[in-house]
Amino acid sequence: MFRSIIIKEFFDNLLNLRFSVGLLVSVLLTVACVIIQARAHNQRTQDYYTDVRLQEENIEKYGPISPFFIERPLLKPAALSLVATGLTADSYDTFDANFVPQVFPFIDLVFIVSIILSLLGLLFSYDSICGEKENGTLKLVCSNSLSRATVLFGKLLGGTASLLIPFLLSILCAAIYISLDPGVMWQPVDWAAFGALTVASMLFISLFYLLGMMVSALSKSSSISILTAILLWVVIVLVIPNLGPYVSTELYPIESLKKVEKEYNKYMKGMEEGGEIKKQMDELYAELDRKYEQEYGDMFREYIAIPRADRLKTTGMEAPDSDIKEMGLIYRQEARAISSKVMGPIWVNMRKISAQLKIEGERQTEVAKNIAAISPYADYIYLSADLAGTGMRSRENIKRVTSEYFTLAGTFSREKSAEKDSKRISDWRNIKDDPLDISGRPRFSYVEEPLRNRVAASLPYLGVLMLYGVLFFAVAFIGFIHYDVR
Amino acid sequence: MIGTVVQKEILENIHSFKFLVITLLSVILVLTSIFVMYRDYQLRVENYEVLRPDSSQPVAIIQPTPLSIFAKGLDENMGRSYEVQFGGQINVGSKQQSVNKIFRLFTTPDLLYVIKVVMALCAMLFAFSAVSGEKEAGTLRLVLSNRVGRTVLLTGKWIGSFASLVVPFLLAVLLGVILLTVSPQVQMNNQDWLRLGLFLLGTLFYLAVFFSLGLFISAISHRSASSLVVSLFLWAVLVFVIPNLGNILARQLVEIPSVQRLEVKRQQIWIKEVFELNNMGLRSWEDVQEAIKKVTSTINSENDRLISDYRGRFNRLVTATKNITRFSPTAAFTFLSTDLAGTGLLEERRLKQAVLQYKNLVVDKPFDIQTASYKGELPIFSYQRNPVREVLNAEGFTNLLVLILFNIVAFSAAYVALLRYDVR
Repeated sequence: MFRSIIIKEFFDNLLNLRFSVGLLVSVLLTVACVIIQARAHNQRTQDYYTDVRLQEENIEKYGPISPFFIERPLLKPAALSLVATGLTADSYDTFDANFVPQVFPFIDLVFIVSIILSLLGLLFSYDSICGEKENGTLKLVCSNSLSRATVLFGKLLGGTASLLIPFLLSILCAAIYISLDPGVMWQPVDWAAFGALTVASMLFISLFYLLGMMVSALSKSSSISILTAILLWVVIVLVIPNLGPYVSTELYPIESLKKVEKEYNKYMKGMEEGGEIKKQMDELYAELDRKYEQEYGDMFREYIAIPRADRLKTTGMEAPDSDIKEMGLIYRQEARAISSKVMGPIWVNMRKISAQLKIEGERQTEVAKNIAAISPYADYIYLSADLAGTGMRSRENIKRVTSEYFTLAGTFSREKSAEKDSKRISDWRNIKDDPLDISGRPRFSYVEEPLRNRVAASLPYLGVLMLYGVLFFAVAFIGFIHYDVR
Repeated sequence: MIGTVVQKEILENIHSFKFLVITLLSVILVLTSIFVMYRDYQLRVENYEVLRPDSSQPVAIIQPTPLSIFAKGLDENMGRSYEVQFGGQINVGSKQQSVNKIFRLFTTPDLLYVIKVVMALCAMLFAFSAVSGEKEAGTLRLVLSNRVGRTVLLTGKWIGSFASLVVPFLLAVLLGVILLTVSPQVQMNNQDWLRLGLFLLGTLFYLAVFFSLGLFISAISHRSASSLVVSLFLWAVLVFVIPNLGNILARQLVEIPSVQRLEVKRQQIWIKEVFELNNMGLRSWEDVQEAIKKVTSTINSENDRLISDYRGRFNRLVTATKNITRFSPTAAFTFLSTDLAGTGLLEERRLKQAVLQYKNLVVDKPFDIQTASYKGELPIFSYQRNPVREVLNAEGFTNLLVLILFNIVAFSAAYVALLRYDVR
């Protein structure tokens, strides 16, 4: 009996207009989207290799004469970015940034699942109970020796199966295209990630089927049911996720930007003529000058009389050895010590405030993420981006790898220049005739996290989705038990 | 007679569950959106006040516009501080960089978004059962058995239903705007009111397109369940698919270097020129100063060449995107309203030109290599957003015309479909 309910529900949906329209839209869209995205992806990948080559040439040419020339970290587009764009779109933090994607965000497979197929899920199930009541078939079904739980469960299985046909067909078409396109070179691990994404998407789509069924079991007529279902869909998909970040800025306002700026302004004011810091430093310098004048007498007066710009000629690194040079070097050292004594605490304080800004920002992001995670739509977006390696998690990893690289490269260049001669840091002039050997330089490379970690990271979101599933089913069940089938 | 049809339609709507749900949804969304975006605007104004440069900083920054509350567009990016640096390189200030990265994953819930996505859906939901639903209820043939022409019926239905969709929405917007004007931070001048008025006019045209499309679909199907399915898919295609897919498509039609490539090339120019300094055999301080001046100007002109090439391509890309995506009323409406609000692609282009001009003023000023900054009094950047008249002349009328064209097509389609409709 259970089987006949499943089969009935399955074929009932299959013969419906919404099935054919949904199938058509889903397959056509997916194919169009994957073709266009694959081409864009190939273009991005090619661009990446060209950029790398350009940079290599540049480094070969100028690297040996400048230990400070550190390569710019270039990122290869993530393999799965063509199905889940996530955060990989161009950065907006440059003057020439391309803002068109901000007006209309890119559309990808994740978009098709999260908007089009979730809507289709609702359309499949909004009348699964109240529609049958209107047709009068529900009382016939229930007059058999069947528990309502069986009916509901059978409807769920049969309906979900019919709903997943358009999705799986679309995925199949996408997979065929991706495997045939010579530009897209997916490794087995990428296919595995794609598979995981497919499973998660199936769960997500079924969730919306359940939601529709729940609404259907709670409403008397299908016209009320569809409106309620669409209203819920609007709230879940369009409202909660988009409001989340704004609500979090309301809950956790960040004060530090103003604090940083205030501190900076205070410092700038202090450095101006007549400012606090400037005054303090001038006093200390005057004291130093008095001390030197007592100790060295005329020689110091002679040194101080040289215009600042020309001092290096007599006391610079390259100047011939002399008493005055020796004195100049120590004098400069002590003057520097004064400045770092005064400035040190100020810089420490400013760094502290900046660090606080970062922490506050991270907390705000976390809150925003959690608020939005109330909506299963947001959970699915996080999950898919994390699986594809285009989400916030991979952004964090990239940031970490980049900063590690910069530390390494910095150490390398310092060591290299120390090997040669300490004076080349302050003077480029002789570098050309005495190039460095930079063959062992550290190179920037970012490797995507192993799939196991990515899957582990997305499990909490999957858990939330399942929890919603259980909740929706429970409510649908209670509603259906109380349902007046006449 | 038409009065009766309109009245019947309004009364029927008001008593329906649909009206209740949609009105509640739209009112709550409009007010929430205006509140949330007002707070966001407030924050941006505060940041602007903090970062406003004086004449010692070579920084270009513009104030957020109050209209960004309704259509934020690119205002956040346009309001970043642009600092002119050595060799005329323009850097974007990192201070306003949103620390909250999650914004990038979702869309801004401004009034424009509420209208173009949610209200468009509501318009279709209002219309999908107008013809096929009445047929199912059996009232359509009763109405037509009277001396009511189909033209009158359609016009009456259109006016009645559309009014019951739009009036509550406009009232909610009005309420939100009144609440906004109480805040001292939101100061709108006459121009701004005109912009807002035109934006709302555009909204009416935009919603009318979806409403007429809904009527058309209703008049070609015989069951309201089928018209609903078709309506929803058409909505998704027009609102999301065409604009977002057209955008990627345009990018493949126009060859444009990535921003990253631009940066790599820029770095190349910089490194090359600075290291050419080594070959010059400089000995005296004056020589060095002279050489730096020369290098600065070379870097600047090389950069200019790079940028003008890029800007030319970028403008072609924007034009291509606009032309492709205009097949959807949503795109035309988005361009129209963001341009009107002064937060659109048109304004972005204008602003960037102004910043480049400002850079040319600054780049000749003496540069202190030790502190890595420009010395002395610097010109102050001032910028006025594109006046309404120019917005309309540039692209506004085109977009409005596109919307009107969509209206005519959709309404005539609905009319023809209703004329041929089998009401039995």
